[in-house]
Amino acid sequence: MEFDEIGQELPDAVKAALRKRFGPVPDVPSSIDQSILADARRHFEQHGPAALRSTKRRRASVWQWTAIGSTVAAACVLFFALMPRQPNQAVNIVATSDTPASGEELTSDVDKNGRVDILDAFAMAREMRDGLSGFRDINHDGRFDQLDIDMVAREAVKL
Amino acid sequence: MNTNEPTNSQSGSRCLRIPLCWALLIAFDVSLMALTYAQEGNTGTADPPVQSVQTEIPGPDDVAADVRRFEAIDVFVDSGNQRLAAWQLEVKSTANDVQIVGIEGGEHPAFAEPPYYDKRAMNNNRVIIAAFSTGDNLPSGRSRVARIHVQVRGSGARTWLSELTTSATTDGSRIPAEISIAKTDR
Repeated sequence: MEFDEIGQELPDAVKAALRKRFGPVPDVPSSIDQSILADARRHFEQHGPAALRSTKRRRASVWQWTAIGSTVAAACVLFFALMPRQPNQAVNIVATSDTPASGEELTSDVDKNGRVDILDAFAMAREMRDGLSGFRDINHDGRFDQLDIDMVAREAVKL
Repeated sequence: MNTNEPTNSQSGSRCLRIPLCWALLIAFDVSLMALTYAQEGNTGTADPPVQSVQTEIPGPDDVAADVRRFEAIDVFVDSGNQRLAAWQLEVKSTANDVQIVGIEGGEHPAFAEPPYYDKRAMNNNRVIIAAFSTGDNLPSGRSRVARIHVQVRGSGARTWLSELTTSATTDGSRIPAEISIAKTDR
């Protein structure tokens, strides 16, 4: 490397003084320059402020994503646990062709256990026998009678 | 290079340290999910387990394969020393050459009427039947609650699966009971 390469704008007097003071500059192969430059780049990539900043951000995001993910999971669990039950075939039944009120949606799950079985009809029959206030006009004919009980019982044994 | 090692381990442990706010949020979420699952488990009904029985009903061996014969199958429910007021069960043949052709009631006056069943069970190999009684005269112990008439094609035994899904006493509370089926002795 020559002083001329460092700064060609230097005055000739300065260049001459520098040569006189430090003597001739030995030739340095360009491969050594490249090697030193590569080492420097590697060092700053690993330990430089930008590297530290990105590492810190990446590791912090792991906790952030963990917290966000668990929050979303908790929200989903809570939503499905607290959401009102969808009308399903076990709870709300649709009258079939052999029932008087075809096409109307009925609520036959008297004991609210999530399914219609013979105990729902049995509960209605006991209410009727005991004269309790449970008015369950399942077939919407304006009366609570044996036909309503039969309808629920038929629903319980439907294939 | 040696001078860098302590720095790396220090920064690594510093980065692995969880921020307090995130830790609290994660702990809250986990406890919330655990609580929800626990409540879901508590709301489950404590019904008696459904009892399923497999029974082989014998048939004649000296019958041609295309010959149809009629049989009757008795369905029994044993409620022990408790009075049986309501029941529901399913009976199904594993063979497709069996057709249900009729259903009649049981031996006890409380269940002498034919039980509820779906008309589509006729000419089918599967039926759900159920009945209840609000009277005071109710069976206890082993009682025939129904009789199922079937048409069988060909010879040999047939396997039936019977499942008692519901049995209850006078106040509607579920009681344990056992189901069994047998070929009718004519």
